[in-house]
Parts: sequence; structure tokens; C-alpha cells
Amino acid sequence: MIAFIGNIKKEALLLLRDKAGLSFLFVMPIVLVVLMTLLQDKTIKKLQVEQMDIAVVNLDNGIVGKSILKGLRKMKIFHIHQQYHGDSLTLALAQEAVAKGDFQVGILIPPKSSIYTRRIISNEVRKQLPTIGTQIIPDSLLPMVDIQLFFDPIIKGSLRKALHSSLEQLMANIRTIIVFKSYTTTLQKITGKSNVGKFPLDRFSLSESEDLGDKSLKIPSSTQHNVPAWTVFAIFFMVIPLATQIITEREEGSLMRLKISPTPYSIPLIARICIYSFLAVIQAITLLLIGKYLLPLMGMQAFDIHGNYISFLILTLFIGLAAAAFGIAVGNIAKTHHQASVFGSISVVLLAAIGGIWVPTYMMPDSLLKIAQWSPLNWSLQGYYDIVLKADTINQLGGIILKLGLFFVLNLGIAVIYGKRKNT
Amino acid sequence: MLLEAKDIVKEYKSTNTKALDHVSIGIEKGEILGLLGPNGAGKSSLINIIAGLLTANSGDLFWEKKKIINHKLLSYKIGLVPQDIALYPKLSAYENLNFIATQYQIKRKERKLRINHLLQSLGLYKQRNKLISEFSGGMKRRINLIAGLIQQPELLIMDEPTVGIDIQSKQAIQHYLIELNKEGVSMLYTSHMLEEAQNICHRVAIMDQGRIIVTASPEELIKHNPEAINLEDVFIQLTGKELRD
Repeated sequence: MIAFIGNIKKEALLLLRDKAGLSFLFVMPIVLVVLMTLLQDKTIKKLQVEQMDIAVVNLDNGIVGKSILKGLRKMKIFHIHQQYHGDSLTLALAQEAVAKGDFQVGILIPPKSSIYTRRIISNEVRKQLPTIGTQIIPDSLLPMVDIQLFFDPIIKGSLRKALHSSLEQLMANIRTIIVFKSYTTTLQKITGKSNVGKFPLDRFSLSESEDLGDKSLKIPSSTQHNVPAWTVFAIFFMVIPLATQIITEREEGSLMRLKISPTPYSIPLIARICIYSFLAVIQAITLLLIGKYLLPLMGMQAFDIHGNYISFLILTLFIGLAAAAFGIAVGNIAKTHHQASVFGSISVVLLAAIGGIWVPTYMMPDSLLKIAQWSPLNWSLQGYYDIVLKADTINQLGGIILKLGLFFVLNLGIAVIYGKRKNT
Repeated sequence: MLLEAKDIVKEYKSTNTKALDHVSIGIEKGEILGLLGPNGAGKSSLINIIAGLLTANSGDLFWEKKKIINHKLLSYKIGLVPQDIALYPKLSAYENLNFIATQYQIKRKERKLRINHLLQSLGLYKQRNKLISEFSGGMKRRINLIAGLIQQPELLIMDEPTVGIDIQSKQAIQHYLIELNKEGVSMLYTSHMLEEAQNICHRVAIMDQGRIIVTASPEELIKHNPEAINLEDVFIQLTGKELRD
């Protein structure tokens, strides 16, 4: 116990006196949390809004234009804008506003869309019921009805597809109504009966139930992403001072003293892991407080972990263990300070990039998502997301904690093997 | 015999060199044995094996005629003063020594007594709270020596303990070592400073190319080499004038 306490005290003193290392571990993530939250706030808000701003350029005076507007309103996912800075929207103005990001989607309903739609459908009905004897126009001479959609470039992937398909569905409904109306009118003319061809369209519906258990598609806000993301990054950045410390100890000979002392090598190793895991907890609490109290002062959303403090601390502890073991492995593998700092920083930055720290994983293409699952920084971030977005308890974080635990064991094993190899 | 090394062989596979070629040597109780030799002679390999930092390819070590199987058990009996200043530059002298003492399970009160006594003996008590990085070369060497003595060893192994320091620090260390030896501490000591070895060693072993060429007292060696007037002349006669890497 005397040896363990001695090691704890020594590690703590060395850490506290490493001003450059401490500024890396505390100042850098605080700056990054504030800066990145501010920078990403607008972008992420656009992605997570429940109602989108849509610019509607309605140049049609008939049923198509009216039905699209009515349909959009009924969908309740759009704020409909037909004016921009007091001016009626034109196609050019709408495109400019969407390009600027003031609206997420634009829709152009061309002039005479209703007249042309009716003409196309009536022509088709005449083909089906030729007894009327009126003139049938060849398809190639029929007008085109081209309703255009344009998106803010930030709207990508599944969200764009979903919007496109919603509007496609709306258009199909309008066409169906016009088709039925056209048939009804024609049939009424043929039979002379006013109640023929009335289809009970209102008997078909598509309803949406409450979200089920898996809420994994929930998009975090800028605060909900950046506070945990940079916490994870800061914790893993301990790899550099930790590996450097191990190499200094080896190069300057202090490791030799540990080797010849009666204290087993596991004691300084455990003490080091304890100190750095504790450091991880302090880092996480600091960034949690920054997220909770400083960000709201800057107009950002406050960081909230829904009172899940125990889960937060336990998860942080496991992240700290994983990062400490990684640092110890790097320190044992690297031969020089230069190697340790280059390999340490590049590996952490790369694992952060693929792990969704810089750019959230939901913005990544599917191919990168598969790679992201191999990054311990991604597991850590997903764990924090689960606490923040789903209010998961520690029992529900078992899978992530197991992965981090295995990563810890693997790295410690590598460190011990390399350490022994260097001793012989 | 306090410690005996028998037929020690050490080969480094990475450089394909034989550092120690069937070396046998013994240290008597209360003796100061100097291990001398040019660079690459195998001195550091031998003392690292005796201290338990390296494993020999073959050969045995004996402590008071008992074969050493677990070196950790001898940690309290053997102290090491490495050539490098094996201390934490960002810790003070006292913090360094206190940390090392905890690794030997020395209790708090005892630690304080021993550290302060050693610091006073080597004239560093007043500077005990200064960081090692702020120490001069001579002060660092003295602290390095104290660190090897913290567990009150019976055998002190020193690898060039006075290299690169001023005359005052060198003399202070030499005087202290002689006093320590009078108290019964045996010493195994490597150095390139042959005059120093001649002054403090009871016996010297001259090594070259992984072998021990001769072991005798400095006086005997000079006596048996009529052309030599000091240990340095004997050393040159035995190891030659050829430059070493």
C-alpha cells in the first residue's frame, strides 16, 4: 500500500507540473466545445428541426397549386413561405434564398399546371372511354407538368429522400383526385346519373404510431453533440502526455529504479491508470459544467444528462481506462518522444475523425459508418449520446462498457508484451 | 563471499555481440571492488545483470553462497547508482527520494529520518525542496547516489558515479563512499577514472572484450608491472592503446 500511495502521489505531482500537458487536456477541449458548438449550431439545427422552411413559388392558379399548398400545410412539417423579405417569391429569389440557407427546400409550381394536368388526364380518360367521340391528342403533343424541387445542400441523404417522397406522394394524391373527378364527370355524362363513380377515397389512410424503443435516429443538437464529442477527444488526448511520460521515465533511467525495487511492476502501472482515469473524470465534469452553465450564456442550448450522473461517471471512467491503456501501449511501443507524440496525436485525431467527433456520424456516408464502428472514440460518443438523447441508465450501456473494457485489456496486454521485450 | 557471479554469458541478439564471455567475479564482504575497462568491455552489462536489470544467457549469481533465483528478494540488499541521473526532473530532491523510499515499503517516519540524514551527509539538505531540473550536475550526482542508498543496502553497485562533475562534488562523493564502506557497505564500482579507483578500491578487475583479464589490488597490479607507475599504466599495458567505439 505504501508503494501504491507513493506512485499515486508521484503521478499526480508529475501531471500537475506538466503545464503544457494540462493545457492540452483542459484548455483545448474547452475552447473546442465552445467554438464548435457555436459553429455547428445553425447547421445542426437545420438537420434536426421538426418543421422545415419551404419556399413555395406557386405560379398556378388552379387546383394543383392549391392542393399542393393545402397538402404541405396538412403534413405539418413545413413552414410555408411565399414571400422573401416582403417580396413575392419568384424562382430566382427562391433559389437564392435556399442557396443562402434561409429555406431548406424550395418548390416551383409552374404556370397552368392545373390546366395541363386536367388536359393530360382528360385525354387519357377519352382514350379509355372513346364512345364520347371527342378528339384524342397524341401523347407527344401533350404539355408537360414539371414541378421542381430544390434543396439546401446541407439537406442530404435520407432526409432529402424522405422529403422528395413526401412531395411525390402529395402529387400522386392530386393526380388521383383529378383522375377520379375526370372519370366521374365522364361517366355521369355517359349514364346521365349524378351518383355514378363516387369513390370512397377517404376510407384509405396511412397513420403513424408513436416511436418504438429504438430512438437511434434521433439527431443530437450542437450542444448534445459537441460537449460529449470533445470530452471524448480530450480524454483520449491524454495518450500524448501519458506516452511521453513513459518514454521520459525509460530514457532518463527512473524506470530502472522501479525495476530494481521490490515493488511489482503492476503497482506503478495500476497507479498510473488510476490517476489518468481520475483525470478523465475531472475533464468530463469540467466540460459538463461548461456545457451546462457557460453555453447557455452564449445563447446555446444547455447540456443536460437528465440526472444520469452515475451512468455518466461510470461511462467516463471506462473511457478513461481505455484511453489510459492506449497511452500506456503507445508509450511502450514508441522508442522516442517524437514517435510517441506523432503516433499518439495522429492516431487520436484519426480515430476521432472516423469516430464522429469532428463530423457527427449521422452526416457520414454509409461506407464510413461501418469504419466508425471500429473507433473506441465512437463507442464512447455513442455511450454519451445514449445518456443524453435516450436517458439510458448504466444497465443499458453494458455493450459499450464491455467494448471499452476489452479495448483496455487489449492495450494493456500489448503494453506488457512490449515492455517485457524492451527489458530483455 | 558476499556476491559471486559464475560463468556469466550475455549475448545481444540485435547487434549479434557477445558482451560477456564466461565472466566470473566475486565481491567480499566490506570490499570496494573496482570494475575497470575500456568502452564496450562489458562492465555495464555485468553490473546490470548483478543488479537484476538484465538476464544473462547463462551463468549463475550467488548471494552469500546461495543461488539467486528471484532478484526482487535481493532488492533491499543491493543498491544501484546508475550512470544516468535516474530521477524525475519535475520532482524536488525530497519528493524523488520519498517516492523511491515508498517503493521499498519504508514507513513515513523512517523515510523522513533516512532521507534527511542522507541529504545532510551529502550537503543537500537545504536544497531538498528544489526541483531536480534546477540542480547542478554535481548535485544531481549526489542525489543519484542517495537514491541508491535509501534502502540501506549491503552492496552498493555504482556505474561511473562521478562522471562529468566538478572536483568538489567528486571529492565529496569519494569521501562519503569511503565512510560508508567503513560502516560495512560493500561496493562494486565502475569508472574510467583510474586515479579515483586506485584511491578507493581494495581490488580492481580489469575487463576487455567481455572477459576479465585480471583481478588484484591496485598496489599488486602496479608491483607486478615494473614499467607501470600507476593504475593507468597497468590498464594501458593490459588493454592496449587501440581506440574503442
